[in-house]
Amino acid sequence: MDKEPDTRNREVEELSERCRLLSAYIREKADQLLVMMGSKPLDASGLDDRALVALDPIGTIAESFAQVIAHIHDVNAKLRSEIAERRRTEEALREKEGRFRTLAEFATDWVFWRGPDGTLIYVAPACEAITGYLPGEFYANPGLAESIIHSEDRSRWNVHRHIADGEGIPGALEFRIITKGGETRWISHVCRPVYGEDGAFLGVRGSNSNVTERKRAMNALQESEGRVRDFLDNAIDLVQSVSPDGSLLYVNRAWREALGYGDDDIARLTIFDIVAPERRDHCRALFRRVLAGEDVGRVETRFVARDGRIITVEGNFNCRFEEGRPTAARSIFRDVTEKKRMEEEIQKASTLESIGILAGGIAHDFNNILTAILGNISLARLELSHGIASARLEEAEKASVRARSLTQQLLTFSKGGAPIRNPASAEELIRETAGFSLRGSNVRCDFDIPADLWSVIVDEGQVSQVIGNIIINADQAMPSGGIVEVRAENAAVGAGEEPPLRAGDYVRISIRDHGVGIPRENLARIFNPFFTTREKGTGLGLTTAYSIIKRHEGTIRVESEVGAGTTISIYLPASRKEPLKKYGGEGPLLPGRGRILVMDDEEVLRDVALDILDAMGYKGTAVKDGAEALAEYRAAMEAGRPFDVVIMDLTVPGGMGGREAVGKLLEIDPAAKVVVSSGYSNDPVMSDYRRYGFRGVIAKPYRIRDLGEVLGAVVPG
Amino acid sequence: MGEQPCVNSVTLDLRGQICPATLLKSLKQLNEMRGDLGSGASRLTILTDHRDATVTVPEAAGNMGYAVSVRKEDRHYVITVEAARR
Repeated sequence: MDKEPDTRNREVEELSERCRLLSAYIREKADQLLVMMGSKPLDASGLDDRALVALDPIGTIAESFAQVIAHIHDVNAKLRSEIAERRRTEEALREKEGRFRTLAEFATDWVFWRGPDGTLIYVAPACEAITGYLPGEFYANPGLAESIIHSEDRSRWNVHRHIADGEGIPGALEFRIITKGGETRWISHVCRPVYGEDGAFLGVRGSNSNVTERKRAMNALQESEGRVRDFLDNAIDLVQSVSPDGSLLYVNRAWREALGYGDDDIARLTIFDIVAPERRDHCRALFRRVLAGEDVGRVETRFVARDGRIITVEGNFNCRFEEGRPTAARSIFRDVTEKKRMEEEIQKASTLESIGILAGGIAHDFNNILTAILGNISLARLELSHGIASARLEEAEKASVRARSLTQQLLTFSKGGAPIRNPASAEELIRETAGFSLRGSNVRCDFDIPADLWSVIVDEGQVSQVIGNIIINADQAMPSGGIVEVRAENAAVGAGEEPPLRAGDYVRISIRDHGVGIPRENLARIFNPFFTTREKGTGLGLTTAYSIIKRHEGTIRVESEVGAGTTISIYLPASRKEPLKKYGGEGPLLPGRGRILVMDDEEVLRDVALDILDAMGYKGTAVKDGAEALAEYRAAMEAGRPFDVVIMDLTVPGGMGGREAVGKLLEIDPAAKVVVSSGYSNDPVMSDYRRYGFRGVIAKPYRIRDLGEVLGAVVPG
Repeated sequence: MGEQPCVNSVTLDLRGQICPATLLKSLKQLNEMRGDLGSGASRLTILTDHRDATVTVPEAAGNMGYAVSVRKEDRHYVITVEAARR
């Protein structure tokens, strides 16, 4: 059985329809794909199905798509790894940047980078701590950094910047800035040009650090050093620092001034050159010990000044060590030249004082002996008023007087007492003393003394010392002989005319020689004790003269010219009254009447005194101390035969002396006339006898004449 | 495009083909030569006289990761496809 043709037709039609559908679908999709790929579609091409299938558009395109997707995957993978790589690079970069940032941000220095065009590329945050301004302010205003530079330092900055901008490398620069808060700070700045890898100039990189503290410390140090130097320089003592080889590392101003060395000398000389030759070995030995670290205690040595003067110094000597090696020996010395001289003089003085005391003691005893001699001679002369023996006795008396004057000098020297001043003939004094002083010399004396020369109120013994010393000096100034001119004149001095003299009458005595003269630098020192230019001189002559004249309320002056001569002038207080004549024989004896009580502990003196009194017509009684004198006086008073005058020795060893007795005597009899006698012309009682109650004074040893005068003055009638 | 002496050169002459067939046949060839072409061992030269093909083929081949160049000859075009330079 066949299928019905309709059914077959229907089946064929169905199949064909399906075919057409499928084919159309395939073509449609193929075209879709082709168009998507940018190609023309197939439909216009008239390709039959078989050819279409053979062409395999969908399969081909699908496979191509697979490749495309594979390619995209490839590309993606590459991109992804590229991205990852880039990320890693960025990471590394960020980390590096982070490191540099840390370095830069935490720098304590104010670091900056200025581009070639002057703009600010970078500034470290440290700028805030140093300047007070934030980085942002610097970025905003590139001129800010320069504007805060101190006006005084601006020009130096400009020079510096000019070099830097020209790709030069300027040196470091220090300048001040004013911070935002108004504070002044010191900045230490360095900068240099920077270049890229390709050598391009990228600008200037600079670094500023705050050195205010350091600057202050340096200034303080310099100031401190300056103060130390100033302190050392102003010290009175000599400060020196010597290197181990002896050269002078440092000397202060006092050192230079004391020794007179200049900078050249100090650079050239060693300490051994400065030390006096005789001390050099000692100095070397000392130096070695000091450098070895030994403590040598106080040191005394002598330095030679530039002009050859020797000065004595005393001080210490110590050594500075660095790492066990000596680097400098330091010393502080005091100039003790004067001190040493003073010590020597004090030594001399104390020696002299001892001698003086000795001499004084001898002189005192000698004086008493002289009194006896002089007294007896005077008495003997009374017996023999003419003839050879009389002449010899006169000579003996003169010699004794001279001896007395010598003892007076010794006593004055040993005790230096107040003068007992009486009117005396200046002419006699001058002539006598000059004659005596120039005895045996080849120097002659020329006198210019007016007849109307006033008398001088002086202690003859002391003033004759003065004149004698001056004339002896004049004599020695002219070793080959010459003339000493001695001139005397009256001088009435008004107030203030001749200081320090008070207004009054004076006699001026000038003694002039034509000898070697006194150099100017010595003129001020001739009155100093122990100053002498003579080898055997004591240096005391003019000193004593000065003090004697001073005590007489006179004055002494010196004028001198080296090679021409010296003139010494003395002013002595004068009186227009007639002086008491000294010589001319004994003259008419002053007769006396009356009872005289003599008190002296020396028997010889008592005997002489009694003899003299007897010769003069007085009735004398002698006792040996104040107690006896009082008893005797009282007894005589009660017996109705009182004494007229009492002569008492000032001091009685081991008993009551006149000083004590007079008071008691005056108690018994307020009208008692008491005369004090003493070998010490320098006891204050002697010069101010009235105050103690005495009516008169007589210096031992005395001649008849002396006693006669005093008694004549004290005893009435 | 440098000459590589050891490269295997394959030529596909598609002159006289209809336009879509040019593309499809080119693609098919590319698919077949995938390995060698990609490694650079081979090179494909396509001859066509369709102007459109000089656009569609290079575009497709480019998307597939190849390097393409086009040259005009007298009466036809020459499209050269090879591995892309890394």
